[in-house]
Amino acid sequence: MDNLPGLSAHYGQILETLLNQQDNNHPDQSVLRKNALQRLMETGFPSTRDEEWRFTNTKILNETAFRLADTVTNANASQEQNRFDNWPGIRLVFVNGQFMAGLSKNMDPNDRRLSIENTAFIADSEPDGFGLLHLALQNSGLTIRIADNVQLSEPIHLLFIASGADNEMMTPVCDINAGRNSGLTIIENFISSDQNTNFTNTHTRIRLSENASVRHIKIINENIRSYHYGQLRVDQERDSRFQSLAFLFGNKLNRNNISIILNGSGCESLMDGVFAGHRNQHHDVHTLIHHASPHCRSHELYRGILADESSAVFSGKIHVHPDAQKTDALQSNNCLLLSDQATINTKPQLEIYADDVKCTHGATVGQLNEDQIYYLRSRGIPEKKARNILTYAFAREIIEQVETEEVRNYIDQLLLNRLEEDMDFHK
Amino acid sequence: MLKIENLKASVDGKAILKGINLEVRAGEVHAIMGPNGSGKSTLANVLAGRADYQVDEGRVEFRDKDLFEMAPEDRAREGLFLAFQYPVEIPGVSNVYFLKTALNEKRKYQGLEEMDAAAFLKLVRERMKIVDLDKSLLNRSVNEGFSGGEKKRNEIFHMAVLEPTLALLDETDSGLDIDALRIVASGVNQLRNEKNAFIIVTHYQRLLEYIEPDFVHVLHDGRIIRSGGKELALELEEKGYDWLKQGSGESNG
Repeated sequence: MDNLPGLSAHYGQILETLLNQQDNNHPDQSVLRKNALQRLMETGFPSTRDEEWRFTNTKILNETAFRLADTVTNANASQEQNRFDNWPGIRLVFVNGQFMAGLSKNMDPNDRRLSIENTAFIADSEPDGFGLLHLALQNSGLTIRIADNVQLSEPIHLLFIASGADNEMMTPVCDINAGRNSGLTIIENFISSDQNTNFTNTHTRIRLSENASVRHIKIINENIRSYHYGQLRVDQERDSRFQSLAFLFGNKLNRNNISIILNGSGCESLMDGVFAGHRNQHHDVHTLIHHASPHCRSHELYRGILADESSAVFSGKIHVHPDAQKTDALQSNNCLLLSDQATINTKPQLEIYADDVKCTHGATVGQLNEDQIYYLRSRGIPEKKARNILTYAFAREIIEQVETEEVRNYIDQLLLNRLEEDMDFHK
Repeated sequence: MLKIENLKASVDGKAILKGINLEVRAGEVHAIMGPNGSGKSTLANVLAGRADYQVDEGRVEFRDKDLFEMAPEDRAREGLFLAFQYPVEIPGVSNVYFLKTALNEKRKYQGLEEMDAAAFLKLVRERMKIVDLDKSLLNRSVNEGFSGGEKKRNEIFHMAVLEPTLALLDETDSGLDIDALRIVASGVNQLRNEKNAFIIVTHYQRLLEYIEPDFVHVLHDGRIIRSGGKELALELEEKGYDWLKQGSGESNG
């Protein structure tokens, strides 16, 4: 960060504050935070010179001295959550990265099926610059534990409301642990309460014990001036099943890293998502799946819809370790370019060190099919609507996998708003 | 209802239609026959408004309006319907949603209220019977994974729901076995009345055993070289197209 003295000074100040703080309850964490910040000041944020960041320009994040947002809620933030009152299950609300027990819903401290504590702290072993920043400045996040053999029928909804002033940053963290034979759906839902330029830097870890089943749904609809860097780290023990569904609509720029490790045999891991860009939005999805055990199956399908001058990056890496025989891995990325100025960089990567495996990948980039448009029009459907129906249908296969109707309708509506279309597809 | 005057059209700069004249009145069924490459499908698609067909000359009036002034969707909403030779698959869009949207777009255009879900389902159930359509095809994606016969039946089903004033059937009979052909023909016969009209483009005389046309036209090299009654189809079946090609100079009806 030497070439950015202003920013360096900014983080130097934060470091000094950290150094002067005595956290007697968590001395280890204190050290990790300081070390992370020191390392960040030495190495800086990633740039397009880094292979993993080649097509995502982080210049603006490098040049803006984001301050940590304070946690005072404003009226907008508390109002925003009313929109989700019809969603079933527990709702845990974060404002500016800080968990707000008072705003949350359906929490029962006597519920013996699960425990929710405000204690989470996550330190990844090899974080990049943004990861270091998160490590140093993360809020005290939520640790959620689902007891063995418990099946939660209703989802746990984590609602993250960005409500900061311009150039403020929020750093939530969640640590989710699913016990043996347990099952749950967890929704991470990111919204903004206003139009300020905020930076959400978030980290979630999910650990699945033997034969656990977890579905994770991430929805981003933060405002179009905001930034988002998200890390999802998943560890799976044997016979566990994990599904990640991502629906990315918001932000001026977002980067979502998903990293999954299959530690035991018989695991299944599904990763599907939709990213929809318009105006000058930039979406970046980086996924990495480690097949570290035999007889595991992974399946990945990402669909992108890019309009106007928007751009996107999809990079999916499958790493099959030497003893991960009988691996069955499939990866696919399809992208729809709705304008001549929209761009996608898609990069599937297979690293296979076992010899008895089935791995396939494919990527397609294209426009809407003119024959289909003609067919719809020849039955009386106006051209714009015909295009919107086909665009919607392209994403539908993934949206349909959301089982909770209220959540699915919300995602539907985000897409239809984007298409400026009023359709009742499910009737 | 439809008046085609000296219609000339081309694809990629190649002239396909070289001066078609045809008038269709309400209550009539016209069959257009001809060998491969004679311009039958081009005629159907030029009327429906396919973009890659270029109209070079001539005019077409449909219900007293200039057809070529209208976008494909407006032609449809005015009452034109094309049953495709190769119905298009649309993954992710259910047959029933597609049809409801199309019907309501047409109703909006006509100044009618949109049809609600209950009334629409009632209509759909009734019209499915006309072509004996399997119920499971309603909620599947449009034509995706349908057999050839199911696709053609689905086209006639769409027609039955949309109730066009003028229906163009582009080789709907091609590739159908005799049972499917009977079902499709019976569907058309049930929909036929004194207010609507049909133009049936076909390669085979066989279909006309089941749908009795009022007029038969033979298309060759972009022109109608002979018009007559239904007996013309039988004559064609016996003698083949060569018989007409030889005499095409003097026998334009």
